[in-house]
Order: sequence, then C-alpha cells, then structure tokens
Amino acid sequence: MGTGQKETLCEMKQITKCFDKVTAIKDIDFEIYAGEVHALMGENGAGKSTLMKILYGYYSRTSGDVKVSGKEVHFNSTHDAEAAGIGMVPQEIDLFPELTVTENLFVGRKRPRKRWGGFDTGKMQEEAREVFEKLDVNLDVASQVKHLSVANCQMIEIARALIRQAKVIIFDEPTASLTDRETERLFKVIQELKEAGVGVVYISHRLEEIFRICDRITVLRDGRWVASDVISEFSQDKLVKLMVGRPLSQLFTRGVSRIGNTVLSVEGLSSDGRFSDVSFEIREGEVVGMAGLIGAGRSEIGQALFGVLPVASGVVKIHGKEVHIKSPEDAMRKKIVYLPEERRSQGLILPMSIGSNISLASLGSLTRYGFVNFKKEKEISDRYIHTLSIRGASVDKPVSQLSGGNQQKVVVSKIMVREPEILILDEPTRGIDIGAKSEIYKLIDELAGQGKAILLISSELPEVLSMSDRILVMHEGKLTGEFDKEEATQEKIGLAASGVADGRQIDTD
Amino acid sequence: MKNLSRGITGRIGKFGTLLVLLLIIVILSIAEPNFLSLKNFTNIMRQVSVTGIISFGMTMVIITGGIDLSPGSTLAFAGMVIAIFASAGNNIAAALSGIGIALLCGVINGGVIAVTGIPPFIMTLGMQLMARGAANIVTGGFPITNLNDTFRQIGGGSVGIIPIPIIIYAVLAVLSHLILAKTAFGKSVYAIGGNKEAAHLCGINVKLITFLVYAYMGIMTGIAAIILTSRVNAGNASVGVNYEFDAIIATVIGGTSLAGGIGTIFGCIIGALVVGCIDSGLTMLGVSAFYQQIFKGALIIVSVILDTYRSKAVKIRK
Repeated sequence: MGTGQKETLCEMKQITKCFDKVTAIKDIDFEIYAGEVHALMGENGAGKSTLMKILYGYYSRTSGDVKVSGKEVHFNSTHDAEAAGIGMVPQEIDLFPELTVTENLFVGRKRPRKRWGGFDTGKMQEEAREVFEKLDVNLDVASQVKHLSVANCQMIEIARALIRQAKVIIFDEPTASLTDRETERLFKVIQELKEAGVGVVYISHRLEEIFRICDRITVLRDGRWVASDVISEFSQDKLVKLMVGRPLSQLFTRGVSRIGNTVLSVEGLSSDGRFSDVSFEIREGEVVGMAGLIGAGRSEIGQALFGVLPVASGVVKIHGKEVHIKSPEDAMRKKIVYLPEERRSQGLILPMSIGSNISLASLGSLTRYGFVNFKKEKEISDRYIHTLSIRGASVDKPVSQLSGGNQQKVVVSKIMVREPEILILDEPTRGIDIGAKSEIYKLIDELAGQGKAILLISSELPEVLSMSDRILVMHEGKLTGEFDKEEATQEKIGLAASGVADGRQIDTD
Repeated sequence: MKNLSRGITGRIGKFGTLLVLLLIIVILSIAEPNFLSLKNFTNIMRQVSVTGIISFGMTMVIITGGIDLSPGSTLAFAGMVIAIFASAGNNIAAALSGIGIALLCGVINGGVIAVTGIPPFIMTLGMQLMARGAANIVTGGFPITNLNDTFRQIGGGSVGIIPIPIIIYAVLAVLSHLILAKTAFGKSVYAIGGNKEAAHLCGINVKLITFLVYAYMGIMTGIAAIILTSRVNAGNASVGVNYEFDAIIATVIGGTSLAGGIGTIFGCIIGALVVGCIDSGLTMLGVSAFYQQIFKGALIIVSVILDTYRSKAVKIRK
C-alpha cells in the first residue's frame, strides 16, 4: 500500500451498526494513518455519516472493534471520543452564537482559573490565540461567534479539536457552504494539519477536491465496504463506478413509450438561492427522471412548479400557453400535482382517516353548498383503495395505522383524485418495501401509458434509469446533464451529479 | 398486549369525559342532595351557556393548533357597546353592534396571525389587554345599567321551561357541529391542525381558514356577550375575566388536543358541563370563590396533562 510504515492512529474493524432491525452499516473496515488525508466516499445513505458518528462517539456500535492509538476503546459520548483524540468538524456548524470565540473553544473543557476561583479569561484568550496562530488564521478571539462567517466558524471547530490535542479530525462536507477563497484557505489548514501528523478524514461529494487534497480513498456503498486504496489507483470514472455501480437490478421494465406533444415546458426558471436558469420539457406519455445529489435543488424545482416556492424569473408553459402558478390549489386546477418527498411531514394528515386523506385535495369537487358529500367521498376512496390495492385499509380507519408503503399509496391516491395531466413525483418510493415499490413503478408506467407527463425526482439511480424515457441531472441548482434512455449510464449520471459534467453539457453560464 | 392497551386508551379518549361527568354528578349528588334537581340543572346550563358558546369557537381555534386568550375581554368590550344601545332601547342595534365589535376583534386576531405568522398565544394575549382597555374607554369605566325589559328577556326569559340562553346554546352547538364535521371548511380546520404543511400541499388555503376560524370565535364571543349583558342587566367593563380559561378547560376536557387536529363539539359540550357542575357543586357546598379559583387552576393543569398523555398514545399509534 505504500503507506504501511506510517503510524496507525485509528483502526475500525468489522464495524456493524443496526437501528432496530435495520442494518445501517455492516462489517466495515477503516483505518487512519498519521499525516494523511483519507477520503470517505459514497452516495447518500451509503453509511459514511453513520461510520463517522460511531468513531466520534455519537452512536455506539452494534459489533466490531475500534482501536485508537492501538488501544481498544468504547465511547459512550462525543466527550469520550474527544478525550481520546477524535475531533469532528460537522457539516452543520454547532457553536454557541452568543458566546465569544474563546468561550466556544472552552465549552465542555476545564477552564483555567484565577486564584480566587474566577475564570482566567486572559489565559484562555492566550491559549486560543496560540491555536489560531498555529492554524495561521487571523481571528479576534474576543468577538462573539454570531458575527463570524461560516468559514471562520469552521476554523473555530478545527481549533476546538486542536486545543483538545485531537489526533484525528473528521471533516463532513466542509466546503459545502464556502466560497472558493475560503476553500483554498481550508485546504491550506488541512495541509498544515497533515504536516503536523494529524489524521484527517474527509467526506465530500466534490470529486475534484478529493483528487486535489486526499492521499487515500475508502468507498462505501449500501452500508458495505467496497474499496480502499491510495489515490493514484483511482480515476474519477472508476471512483464514480465504485460508488454507484451496484449491478443495475432490473427493478421494472417499462412498457413501450408512446410519446406525444409537449405538455409542460420550462424555460430559464430561477428561484433565488435554490436553482437558476433551468429549462426542460415533458411530453405526453413521457417519464422524465431527475437525478442529482440531495440539496441539488430538485425538490425545489418541483415545489416551484407546484406554486409552493416563489419563482424569480423564467417561463412555464402548459400546452404552449404561458401560466403563472400562484398556489398549490392553482397548480392542481391547471392539472399539475405534486407528490411530496416526506410522506409523514408533507403528505399525510396523520390524525385523519384514510378516506379523509384521500379526498383532502379534492374537497371542492366533493362539496355542495359547503357541505361534503360523504357518500361520494367514500365511493372515491373505496375506488382508489381498490385500484392501488392499499392493504389493510378501509375508509374510516386512521391512516396512521397503515404501513409505510400503504401510506404512500394513500398519498398517491390523494393526488390521483385530481385527475392530473402532469405529475411531479418527489422520491415516490423512499422508505417503502420492494413490493410496494414495484406497485408504484407499475402505476407510473400505467399513467405514462395513459398519456400523462411525469417528472420523476429520485436519488436512486437504478430507479431513474429503469423508469425514465429521458434523464435530467442537477448539480448545485443547475442542470448539468440531459441523457436519453439509451445513452444514460450510472457513470455518466454520477459524473454530472458531482459537477464534473459529461454527456450533453448544457451551458448554464 | 400492545393492541389491548391501545384499544383502552382509544376508548378512554372517547368516553372518558362522559364517565368523568357522570362521576362528578354522582359525587356531588351524594355530598349535596339538592344538586340533582331539574332546577339546579337548568341553572347550571344557563350559567354554562356563556362560556359554553365561547368554547365552540375555542374548539375550532384549538383544533387548528392555535389558542385564543382574548374572548373574556372581548366579551366585556362588546358588552359595553351592547349596553349603550340596549339602554337607549334599540335592541337590534345592540345585538348587531355586539356581534360586530367581537367579530372585529376576532378578525384582527385572525388577520395578524394568518398574515404575519406570530404565535396565536402572543397575538391574543395582546388582544386581551387591548379589548379590556377599550371596554373601559367606552364609558370611562362606569357601568351602564337598567337595560330595557325586552332585551332582558334574552338572558332571563324562557320558552316553556327552557331558558332562552340554553336554546341559543343548543342552536349554536348544532351549527358549530355541522360546520366542523360536515363541511369542507371543517375538514380543512382538522387538516391544518393535523399537519399544516401537508394541508397547504393539498391546496388548502391555510391563511384564509385560520383567519376565518378566529372570526368565528369572534362571532361566538359576540353572541355570548349579548346573553351575559342581558342576564346581568348591565354593561360592565370588568366582566368576563378568565372566561377564556373556562372555555379552554371545557374544550380540553372534552377531548380536543392542544397539539391540534383532534376534537369535537360534542366533547366540548360535555367538557363545559363538567366545568359547570364543578362550579355549581362547589358553590352549593359552600366552598369560597377563592378556593374555587385554586381548584380551577389545578383543573386546567390536570386536563392538559391528560391531553399530553392522550397525544402520546396517538403518537405511539403512529
């Protein structure tokens, strides 16, 4: 391996973590040497965070061994981990905004005291200044944290780890909210940490960063270890393939697509801070998949088209006619429906019955003089319970008693009652079992067969690949790729989603 | 085993309040034999009608996940204006202005809450102070007495043996029940309280419904003000103190969840009767008004604790 002679700071062996009956990660090996930057790679949900939270004492492991400096350890809290020399710079900075930089460094630590028992602020500030000098960062240690930029807060997190003599520091997507210049400074600091013999774990989705600063890479997929090697053994293509490259299990085979005229066209759509200059169209009977990483702005586009999020500029046309969608009700009147990403928090009214949930988006058509026609409501609900075979369901039963997959079918029923022409499905199969999944796939296929225009937003590449007629890829609020069914591969999509555009690059500048 | 305990919590939730009411009636009847008489029952109902009507509005407000702390003061403010017109002999103007004033307070509450999204607790606490101030401004704090005889019939008269306030109470109960249980508006109220975001994504106009719920609360308060002003034959700026708490107690005891999304008008009636029986029983037993206050304070805490357990049971089912 070439790095074998280096001191091993930390060794994780056969780590398994189960949450109830769900195995999040299984038999993962991971080690960190002194003075290296070790990239931990994988798709969302591959188990990177779970593994690092175990190392940082946030979760306890179900089985496996963790050794720090050759000694077996069992952390019961992050405090234990910090005491053993593990530091973490979290993705969401977690400081006390009202306290000063110095006070934040000393939170959870013994503070130096004066003879009469008060805190020795002078000494604390001196220590703080020393750490920032070591990092070559110019920061007023007496200022309140709330006045500082995200980049400087990150520096405080690094200093927090250093002041505790951390031997290993974990960086979780540290550049996600930094500017280019701040990123450069961070890389310089990481370089210095490396020279000082600190082991750095670096989690990021940005491939170019990985190849710039990392020495070794470990790839996880679906909670399993896939590969570990020095950086020179990887190319970008190979890395993406390892990350996403599960054999494309044929989840579902679509019927023959009969694609007609354009139903929905979007031109130059932008929403401040969410996405910019997005253009695409969906035709009759077409399923357009939308891939990308979480946070790439896919749900936001769906919600903007549904009148939930504001649109700053751009044109939306339905059947060639320009429309302005002001609210969900407005969108549904124009035959657009949206299946939200979060079933429980956005899709269902849990205290209500199954029937009430199914009819909720269509109250207008079930109402006469303000009064709901309960007979009609029952008829419609019964019909959808039957067509979508929602198991264990009756109209009056509380929706909270159904399983996840059947709850999802209730939400699908709810939007189907509106008899839509355009369906925006945001992660329609998230968190549901294989059986319910294939039923949803069958439904999507049938709807496309009926000539509906469907936008399928999904983080599962196999799902996007097997269901879509065309695939759009987003990266940081922009469309970075568009592929036909025939030319799309996991690798091409993965590259476009990481911002290393491939295929039919759409110029967004 | 789990299913069994779930079933029991569910059943207690539905019939528990009714059981509590029967238990209270039995205990008070044993302690004070005069308690269980038709005369006392009509008396209790007559007293319950004012806060009971307010609690119909309160039930809707709480089902949306909100709260209204202003009806007691709004009632006093509306009562003053009602008394001015009623003492001048114009009963129709009295009734309309009373409802109008209370509706205005509700519209302001609902409008500010819906548009700005500030917590209903804060908005209606502010309104509580403002309406009380306004009530005092009307006459500089002096009560208005000697309203006309026809007007006094509203609170004091009867049709046959049934006092008019009880008839009004019953009519509003049916109306509120129909609105809540049978209309699209009612469904939207439950949906907003159950999950605001999901309701919005279903095309429900969350702001409009929220606004209308507080407006309805205002109308109920205005009608309650007419009854109360008529019954005491005066407009008095200091009436109605803590009435909102009676209404909240009645609502929560009646099974409406402070977390929103759950509740019925039927439960709210039972809850109001529980409060009325306890009030009347303690008075008949000679318990002083000060101790009654302590008792009621404890009651509101206990009823909310019960609600918390009920919500937990619901969550477990989720």
